[in-house]
Amino acid sequence: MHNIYHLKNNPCITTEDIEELFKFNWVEEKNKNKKNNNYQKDPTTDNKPQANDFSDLFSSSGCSDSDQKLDNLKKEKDLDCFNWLPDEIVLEILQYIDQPFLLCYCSCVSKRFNNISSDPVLWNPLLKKYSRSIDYIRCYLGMQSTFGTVLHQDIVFKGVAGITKYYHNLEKKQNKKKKKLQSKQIEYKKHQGIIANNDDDQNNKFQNNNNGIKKSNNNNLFTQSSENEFSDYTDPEDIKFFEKISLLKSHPENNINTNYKKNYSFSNTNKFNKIQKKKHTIGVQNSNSILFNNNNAEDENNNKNNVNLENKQFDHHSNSSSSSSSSSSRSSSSSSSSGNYNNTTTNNNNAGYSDSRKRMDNELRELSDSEDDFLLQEEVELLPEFQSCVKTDPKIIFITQLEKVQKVWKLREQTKKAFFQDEQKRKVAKGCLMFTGFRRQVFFLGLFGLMSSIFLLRKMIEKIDISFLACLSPMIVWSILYLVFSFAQALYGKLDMAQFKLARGNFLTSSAFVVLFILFPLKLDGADFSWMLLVIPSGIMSVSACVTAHHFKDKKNYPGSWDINYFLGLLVSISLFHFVFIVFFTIKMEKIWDFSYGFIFMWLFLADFSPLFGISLWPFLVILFDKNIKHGFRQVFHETSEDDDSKRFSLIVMFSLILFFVFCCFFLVELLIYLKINFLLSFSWAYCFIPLLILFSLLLCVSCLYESSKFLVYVSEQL
Amino acid sequence: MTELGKIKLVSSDSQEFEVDREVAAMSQTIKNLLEAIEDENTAIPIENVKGEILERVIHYCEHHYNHPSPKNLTENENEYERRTDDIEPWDQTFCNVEQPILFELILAANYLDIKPLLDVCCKTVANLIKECRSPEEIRKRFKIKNDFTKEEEEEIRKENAWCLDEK
Repeated sequence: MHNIYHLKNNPCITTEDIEELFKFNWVEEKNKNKKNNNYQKDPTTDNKPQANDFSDLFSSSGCSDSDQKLDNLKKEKDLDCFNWLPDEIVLEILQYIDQPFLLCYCSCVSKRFNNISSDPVLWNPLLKKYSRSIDYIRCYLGMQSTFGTVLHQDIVFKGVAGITKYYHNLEKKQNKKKKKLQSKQIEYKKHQGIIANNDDDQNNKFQNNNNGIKKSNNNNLFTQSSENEFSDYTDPEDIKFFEKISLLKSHPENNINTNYKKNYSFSNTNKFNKIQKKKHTIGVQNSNSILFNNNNAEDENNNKNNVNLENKQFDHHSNSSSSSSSSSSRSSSSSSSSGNYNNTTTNNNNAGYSDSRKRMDNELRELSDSEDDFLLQEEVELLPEFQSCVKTDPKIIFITQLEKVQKVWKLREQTKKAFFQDEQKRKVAKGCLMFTGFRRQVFFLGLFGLMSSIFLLRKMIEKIDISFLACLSPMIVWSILYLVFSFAQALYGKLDMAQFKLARGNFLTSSAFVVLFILFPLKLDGADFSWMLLVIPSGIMSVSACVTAHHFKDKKNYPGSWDINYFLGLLVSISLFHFVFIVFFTIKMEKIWDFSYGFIFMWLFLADFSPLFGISLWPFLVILFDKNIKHGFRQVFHETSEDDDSKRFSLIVMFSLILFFVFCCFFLVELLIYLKINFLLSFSWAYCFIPLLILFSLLLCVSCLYESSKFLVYVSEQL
Repeated sequence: MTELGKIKLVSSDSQEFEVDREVAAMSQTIKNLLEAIEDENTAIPIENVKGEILERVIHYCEHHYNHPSPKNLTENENEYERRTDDIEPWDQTFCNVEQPILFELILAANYLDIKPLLDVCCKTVANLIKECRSPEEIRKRFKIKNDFTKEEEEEIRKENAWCLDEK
């Protein structure tokens, strides 16, 4: 189109000329020139209108065979409208399909759809998008018990699994990569110097060039794409996972060629098409041996055969790869997809070949940017490798890993079914599952609540002078047990990073409690004791939460993925509550003692159910950060209604919301007491807390005992 | 003679449309051509677009020229999160047409290089695909011919068994 701009400033151009221009005769001439450059349209694709094809688009007033065909096609009512669209537009449409199964449906529709829907451009983002889900499934499958694992894991992994682990390791690995790259770049620069010194000797030049190309390619592409693309598109943990299930032949860090292939197929397809086209146009064969054994006449004949075979492959490849061009390059790349490159390869001789190779080199240099010259030649050298890398395209990786996960999943489901086939059992299990993930914690909490309640009741009814510390004795036991369990879990449990952090948090909190219980009553009175009891663990948890939140705040996936929203919800909720409590009770309040007991309870509930608070805040955070209320709600409801697991998750959300409101009520009551409202002064708030506490504790204890018994039954059945 | 600030577009079936220069410039193709023209009265032939479609395209451009939409949220999203649920109501109504017209709109938008129109049409087609629950349904909806041989189809089914088995 730039020719038009030249014409604009030309005083010799008349209106008639402009009209002629609009008939685009000049484009026809351009097309003729194209044809002279051995570029011919593939007759097999002629019946498919390529709206972006330069000639088809603009020469409608002139050669209009394809237009006539297009019109005819449009006239036929029952005809596939997709036939009117060029591959690039179909690809553009398919890029809006974010569900892998829909893409697979598309690939089953027709040959053309199969080609287009297998494009890495479509699958690469899906691979990235679903890598965490797959990671989540992996974590889920890694769980040992049918009922899930202890502590918060069942809740937490739903949102957090793999993410902290991923980001935690990513930085380390990126740093390692950078160091490796730097050393390799130095090597590459040295090698370039060697090549420059060998210009005189033709054979040596090519040989060195070939060697140098491979090294430089590794460096260049690795530098270019590993930082910009590879790190973006792959999860190191997923790679480990793929590695384990033998999906990738080698680890990308260990084998740069793997990286190269992967990146190459994702990023350089257009460039590759150009090179392919040029290469075939000039008549240079594909294989490496041709380039470096050009004096051998016998090889020439063999190569002819190779070329025919490779051209066939290439025709297939060009159809598929051309579709990977982005929308911005639609018009330029479409023409390359329909080329027939079989016409000139049979007339090679040694001299001709040598000339054509030089021509190819020149043309390749014209095509490339100055700094990519070396790379482009190298890309030609690695054509067979490129073809082989198609085998490891993201679609195949995605589907293969899904299949593998599915197999394990099915096994797990079968085991589940074996247990749940009885309706009675199923009902029981449903009830149990609600408390699955945190059953141990719930159990201890229930136990603690029950014992505390008994103490309080005795104090109230029998008017026994039980000391404050005695009332808290169950909590001491709970804290010690909690400490031991969380420590054991952190050490021996199969925890990922998020779960480990949580266990560590629990451990720290419990430790703080234990230390406080042991130390402070010895020296301080009740008020100071309760004050410290509240502040220190709160401080620990708040700092821990803030540090982790700070660690996550710059991650670019936030707020796109719900799991990070959830995680941040958790962190924010903990920090918020703790901050409010600390500020409110340490600075403003004077009579802390009156509130200490209630707030110990509240603190415990907050500490234990903080993930629930996180979950309860999560939908609001999604909506808040998504800036699109409709989408936020849709996402929330979609993600909490897909399967049984999610339904359970939404139950927990509801449960946590109820708890949240209950705590709010208590908080208000305590505030009223603090404000010295007369009628409340004569009434101890603790008494109204007791019935609820007993009820709740009993419920939890029974649930846990019931679950434990069922679990024992299940274990005995299995044995 | 066209009015001041207006240009004339001629469709493939020789229908003429007078459009504001700015409105027409929403098409990059026309914008580029306009920069090359000195005589504003010259009618611009849009040879690949029929009158009916061109009229719709002009209608779209006029609406969006007069009612510029707020910054598209999708622009800031991750590359892999292309949404199809953010089509504005007016655009939804605009694209609620028969398939042939919709596809011709896509072709016209692509030819005239009107990205918003192309996007919205592509999203509409993607939504139509999303409504399908099987490859057969896609074929049926878009009248696509199954050109696989039996062997090929079997192979493809094997390849995509993970999603087809659940059917």
